[in-house]
Amino acid sequence: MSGPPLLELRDVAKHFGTHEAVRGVTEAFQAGEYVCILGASGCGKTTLLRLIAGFETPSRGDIALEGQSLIAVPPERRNVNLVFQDYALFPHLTVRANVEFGLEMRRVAAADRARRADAALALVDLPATGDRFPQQLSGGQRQRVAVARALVNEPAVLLLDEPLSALDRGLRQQMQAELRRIQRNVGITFLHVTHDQGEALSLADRVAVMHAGRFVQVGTPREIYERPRSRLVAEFVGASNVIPRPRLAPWLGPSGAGDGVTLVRPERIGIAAEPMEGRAVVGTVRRTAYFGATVECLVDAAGLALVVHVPAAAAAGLTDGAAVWLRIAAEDVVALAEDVA
Amino acid sequence: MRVERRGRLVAATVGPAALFLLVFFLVPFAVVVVYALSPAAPGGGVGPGFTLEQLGRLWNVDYLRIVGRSARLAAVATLLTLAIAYPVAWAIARLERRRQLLPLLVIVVPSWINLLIKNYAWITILRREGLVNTALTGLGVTSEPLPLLFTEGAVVVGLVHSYLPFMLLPIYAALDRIEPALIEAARDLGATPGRVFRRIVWPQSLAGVAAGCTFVFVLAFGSFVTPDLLGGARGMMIGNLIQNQILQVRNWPLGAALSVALTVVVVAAIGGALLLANRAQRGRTA
Repeated sequence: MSGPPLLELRDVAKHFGTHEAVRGVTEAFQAGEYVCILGASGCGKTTLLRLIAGFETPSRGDIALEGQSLIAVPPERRNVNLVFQDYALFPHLTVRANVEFGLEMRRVAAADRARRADAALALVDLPATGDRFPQQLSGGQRQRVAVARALVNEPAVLLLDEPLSALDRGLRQQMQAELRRIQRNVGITFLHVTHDQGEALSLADRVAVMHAGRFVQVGTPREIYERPRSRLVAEFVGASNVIPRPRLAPWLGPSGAGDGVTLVRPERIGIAAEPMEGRAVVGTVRRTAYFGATVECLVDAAGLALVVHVPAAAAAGLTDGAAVWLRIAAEDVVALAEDVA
Repeated sequence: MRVERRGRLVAATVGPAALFLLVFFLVPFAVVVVYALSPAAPGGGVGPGFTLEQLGRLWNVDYLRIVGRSARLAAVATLLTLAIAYPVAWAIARLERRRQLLPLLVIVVPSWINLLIKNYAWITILRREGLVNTALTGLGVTSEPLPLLFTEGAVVVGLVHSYLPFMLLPIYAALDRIEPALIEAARDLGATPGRVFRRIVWPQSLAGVAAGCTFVFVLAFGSFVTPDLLGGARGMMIGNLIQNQILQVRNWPLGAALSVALTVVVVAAIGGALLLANRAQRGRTA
């Protein structure tokens, strides 16, 4: 981390009656970061975004942007912009008027507005749609307009609330790449809320995993995936085998075993249809599923039901009912902490 | 084949309404137009022949004054109704859906009360020894009771009271359709609450405003019970004039001619409102 943080959350909490939506989040965000807040629905991630945007007031804690507390600042005077989940484009205004809206509110001169709106529409790869109305655009185009409408104001932080959830799969992947390109291009800090772990891992510089109103782990996508701190993070991000450590004795030997719960990622388990050298344990393939690039095998071995991912090219002989040999290396076993929830 | 079926469907759905309008509106209106162009028969009814005499008599200063007053009172009542109904409709539309029913019922249910009863209630409130004057003189605000009843103001109050739901409901319907996220988006983009209203809420509610204003203006312009009871001689409107010509003066052709004039003004008002609503909607459906 370098320099003072751009955006700081200090023990931010929000209660709705007796329901605690956000339960004390403390985190700092740097300028130019792409951060994904990843969590299941109802974990408080949207509330957190709305607290930063100013649509909710925290029950406790402080939010500071560039060192200044935002608590008393109304949404229209915060230097952050939000891309809404369903875009919230103004139906009675043209695309251009939508994009210029924020500039108009800040009394930017008309010529300047037009120039900046053109630049924003070009940035999101939507030139020449300015005279149309939102209803005349496709879902992907509306998404781009929503991003342009927010970015044109050059906010310090862009907040994105599940921005891709309304798009179908192909378009979603295309827009993920677009968002990353746009963020690199403008260098603005993106805070992107999602429930899609693939989206979070592929897009973010850092991922904050949120559960029950708290950040349970914040780190690079690689850290989150490879070194999850708790079972909850492990199971939320990617497919996982969560195994009590003593049960790994057949692979690690009595010395490698111990207490606690561990994680072994499915692609870290070695599998072969023939005997392997070293500590390999024999198992039976119960079921296989073909995913194109990989094959997922459900294998019974040493009293465990293990999920194993194999590159499709190396999956010869892994058929239902086949005997297989499994290998797990000590360095691929990740110790998990008990969840605090 | 397909066209035929479509035609039959249109006939089946629109047909009954069209027939109803033909029998109970267009035919009677044609009769009214014929009456307006006929000479008067003494003691009521019309004589044979054709004359433009009655239509010509519409350009009488007294009649024009009454038409002008009708338009003015209807317009004032419409604007007042709009000013009262809009904030209320907005407040209701912003409530959680399950909390909207009660206030809507509170507004709609009183409109089922007979118009006469509502107007009589205003008489007891506004007359010389009425509620308002008793309170004002009792509190020493005025030494003499104020002349409240039988004024244009009393007519306007009665009209506003009677027709408020007709303004409120269409505006509520339009406001209720505005997504709350649009308002937040406008705030997020730097709009103060006042500018959110001017740029986001008001433009999207224009269709409802146009509908409400049309209802209230048309109803108020043609009203005759309220001006009769609350306006007296000074509050006479075109509806009272028509009633007067038909029932008292027994000049049916003149009453018919006035009715034609009333219809023309009302149709013009509806046309104007439709034009306005269309323009407001153009962006949304283009």
